Amino acid sequence: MRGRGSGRRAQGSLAEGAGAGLRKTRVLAAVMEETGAGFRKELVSKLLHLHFKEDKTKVSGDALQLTAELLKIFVIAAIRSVRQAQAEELGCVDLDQLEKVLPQLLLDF
Amino acid sequence: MMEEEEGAEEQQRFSYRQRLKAAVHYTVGCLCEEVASDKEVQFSKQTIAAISEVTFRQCENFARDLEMFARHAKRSTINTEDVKLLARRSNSLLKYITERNEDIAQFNLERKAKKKKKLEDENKNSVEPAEAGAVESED
Repeated sequence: MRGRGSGRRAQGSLAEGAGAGLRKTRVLAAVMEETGAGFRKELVSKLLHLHFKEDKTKVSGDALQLTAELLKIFVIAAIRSVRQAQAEELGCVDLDQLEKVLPQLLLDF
Repeated sequence: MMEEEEGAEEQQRFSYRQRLKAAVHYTVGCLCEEVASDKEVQFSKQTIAAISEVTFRQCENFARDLEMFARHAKRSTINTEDVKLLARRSNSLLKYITERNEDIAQFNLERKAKKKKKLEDENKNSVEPAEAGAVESED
């Protein structure tokens, strides 16, 4: 699929990325591989317009597509970090894991 | 009477919000399923709902930021440069989004070129039969 190659390229740079924690790096690297499902452009448009302060604000088509991509990465990053946290510490509810990884996630976006 | 109308409007806005939330929830559910399918992990309903709620709230931040970025650039239309600014906090994310932006631009360029070519071909085809008809009528 389109974009798969660029995902690989991003992964290469992630491995070199200093400063970022190892776990965070792994999660983000895994996230950037292409997946099928995602946010529809219409939904993203409605979500954005719901929160705009001014009615005259418009969004270009490419910008919508890119925002949809960003939202997808946000969700997948959340899912993967929960799963990662779960794998490291078994016998815990996944909602607790979400609470644990949420601060880092929100600092990244 | 006025209060009633206001109440109805408020109600409508609330249900519209809930519908959008439901759409986000559905998408998050799909993504969860996709991620879980390759590792056989199940997520609880509460976790999916919580991720959806966080995503919905995050949309508010995104929308406000994007609007501000566009206004700062003295535009009323948000473009991809504004979206790239959203991803400024993480280097790898910014790099990925920039590459994705190039992919999307390239894809749209190719699609436009294809459309144009198709349109030109159609025009040619529609002109040719007409000419052929004209030749026939001369006979």
